[in-house]
Amino acid sequence: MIISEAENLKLARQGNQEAYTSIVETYQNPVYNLCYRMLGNSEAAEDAAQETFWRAYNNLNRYDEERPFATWLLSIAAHYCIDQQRRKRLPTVDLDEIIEFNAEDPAPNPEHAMLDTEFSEEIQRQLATLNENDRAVLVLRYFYELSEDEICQALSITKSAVKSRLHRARQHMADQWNDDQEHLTAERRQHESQTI
Amino acid sequence: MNHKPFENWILDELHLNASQKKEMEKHLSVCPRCKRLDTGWQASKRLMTHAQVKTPASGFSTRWQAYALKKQNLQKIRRYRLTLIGLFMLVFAASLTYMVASGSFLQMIADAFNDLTNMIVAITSGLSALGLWLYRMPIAIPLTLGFIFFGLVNAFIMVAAFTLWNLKQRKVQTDEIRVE
Repeated sequence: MIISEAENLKLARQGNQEAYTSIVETYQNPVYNLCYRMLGNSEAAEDAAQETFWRAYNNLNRYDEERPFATWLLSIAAHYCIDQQRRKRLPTVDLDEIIEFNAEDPAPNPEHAMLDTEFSEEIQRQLATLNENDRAVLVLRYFYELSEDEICQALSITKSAVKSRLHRARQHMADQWNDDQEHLTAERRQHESQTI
Repeated sequence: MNHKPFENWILDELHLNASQKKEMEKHLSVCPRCKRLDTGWQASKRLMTHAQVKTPASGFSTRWQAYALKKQNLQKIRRYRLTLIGLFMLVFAASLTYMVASGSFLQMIADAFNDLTNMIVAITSGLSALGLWLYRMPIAIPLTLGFIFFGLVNAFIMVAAFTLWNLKQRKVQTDEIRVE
């Protein structure tokens, strides 16, 4: 028998942990992905995702059913990751982690898989240079396609704050990409001159 | 050249009408700064929209169940501790109220003050007796005892200072190794 999400939520609110576990299974990927994009390494992302689900479980009674459950969950995850970043202020990119080959990823086409990994690597490197508030706004906007209003609700900030953070983050990402390209070109030229 | 409106069009992702689009294209063809910004942002955006969704290692929900169980146990322990502390505070407050109300609390303070005074008197008279005893002794004995006592104290201080210095040095060396 297939139980709907609403029913699972209802059961979970009554303390049914099995029902909540099926909610965890449904949302584990988006929550983990958000934590990974915010924190930059899989170990921290796993911890943050588990803590997010635990916090959500403990506060299920506060959940407003008129809001999408996914947005509420992502908002908890984003707040938790921002707090973690503020506390630790550690380097957010684990290069070994990025380079590591993920055996569980479905990869029917090796070329696509390699491209995906390259995209993932590069974007993670760029995201790591943003501050945590701007990064959260950008991740919610482009990885989860949330509207500005939804981001306002998720991060409990005003619409003008969302707009200004997005503006700043886009500027930073553009500059970062251009700097990376210039750096790469310079390296390539150096390599070519050495070869000659 | 005024870049501001074009930068805002690029970075705020505004929906441009046909004439604005034309104006933008015209500006981008002559302005390398805005062109660079546009190229950089479009490339970054493409990277974000094409990046693969990161997934946790398999068995996440099972690990979550174990995590929840651990958290529940911690919550139980915390609640138990809080109950114990609460009970202790309650008993303490009740005893204090009772003692103050019955007057035994003031009596207890008076007794403690009395005991302290008696102790000071006893120490003072003991010291005075010791002084009298030392006065009757040949001068060499208290002097020798004094030298030995202060010598030992000095040796102890030097050993302690050396140990602290040594520990500090080791810490510095360890930090250097970590940095390297």
